[in-house]
Amino acid sequence: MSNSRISFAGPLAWLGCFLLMTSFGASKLAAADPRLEVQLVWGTNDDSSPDPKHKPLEASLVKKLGMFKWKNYFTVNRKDVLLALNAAQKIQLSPQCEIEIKHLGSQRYEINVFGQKKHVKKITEKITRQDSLTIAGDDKNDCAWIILIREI
Amino acid sequence: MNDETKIKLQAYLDGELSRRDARGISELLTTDNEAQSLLGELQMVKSALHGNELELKLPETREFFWSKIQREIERSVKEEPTRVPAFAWWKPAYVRYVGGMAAACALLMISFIAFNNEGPRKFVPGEIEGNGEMGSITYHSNADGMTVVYLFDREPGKVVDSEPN
Repeated sequence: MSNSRISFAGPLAWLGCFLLMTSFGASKLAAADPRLEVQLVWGTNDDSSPDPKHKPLEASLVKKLGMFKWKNYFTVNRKDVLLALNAAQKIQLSPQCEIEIKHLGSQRYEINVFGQKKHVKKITEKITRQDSLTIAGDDKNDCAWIILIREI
Repeated sequence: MNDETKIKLQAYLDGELSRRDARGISELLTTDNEAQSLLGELQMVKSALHGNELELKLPETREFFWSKIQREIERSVKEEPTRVPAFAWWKPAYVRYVGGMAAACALLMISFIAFNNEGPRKFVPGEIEGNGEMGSITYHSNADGMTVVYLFDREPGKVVDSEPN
């Protein structure tokens, strides 16, 4: 009797492994809808932003933007969005700047950029916790607008 | 007379000294009055004890008396808690179970690493579409974990107005 019980120990252990792995993998695949943080940032060489309501950008992000020529960065607007699969969502970041984000699955996103209600570009890119997306462009008075999108 | 001499005197009285020491004490007794009087006292005490000591009779035989003590000692030794080795519970049959669990843990770790690959990522550039007026430059930094799409106007001097105000 005890021999037959012992002979089941190995297969039972492997079955446990299989269940653990499948449950773990399934939990990863069936992850919740992604949440993105979208920020419109103003890049300038001036010491202050034209709008006193703008707050200085957090230091870690300023460091990431070190590739750009501007000295100071200010957060114009910041929004968190929860995206369902294949559902597009419009985000008004300023009266002039609007984007539309669509989650295409597998951490790929389609982003349509609008400037003064006019479609500017459609960008399809992967955004993960490790890789954020930055869309930027020149503006008046040697300043820049920067849209930072990252998964949170 | 010092303490050592006094002790020797007592031993002399009991006949416990070597010949040499006994001879020394005998010589001392011929010359030292104090030693003589002490020896006299000791002799008196000895004789008093010897003559008046009460005889205690055991209610059982000597062998039985000592055997009781021996049994009592043995019983107390047995009652002392025995030390159990730390792995006394281990049985060779457990190897199968432990092996299975170890394999499960190893596979779980492997699957965790596979699903949470934090290693260097290969950048696959995305797609950019739009009207011909706007150009774009895409730059990816693995170190910063960031993809930058920089938009610029193909017409010099014209900018995309996204001014915050």
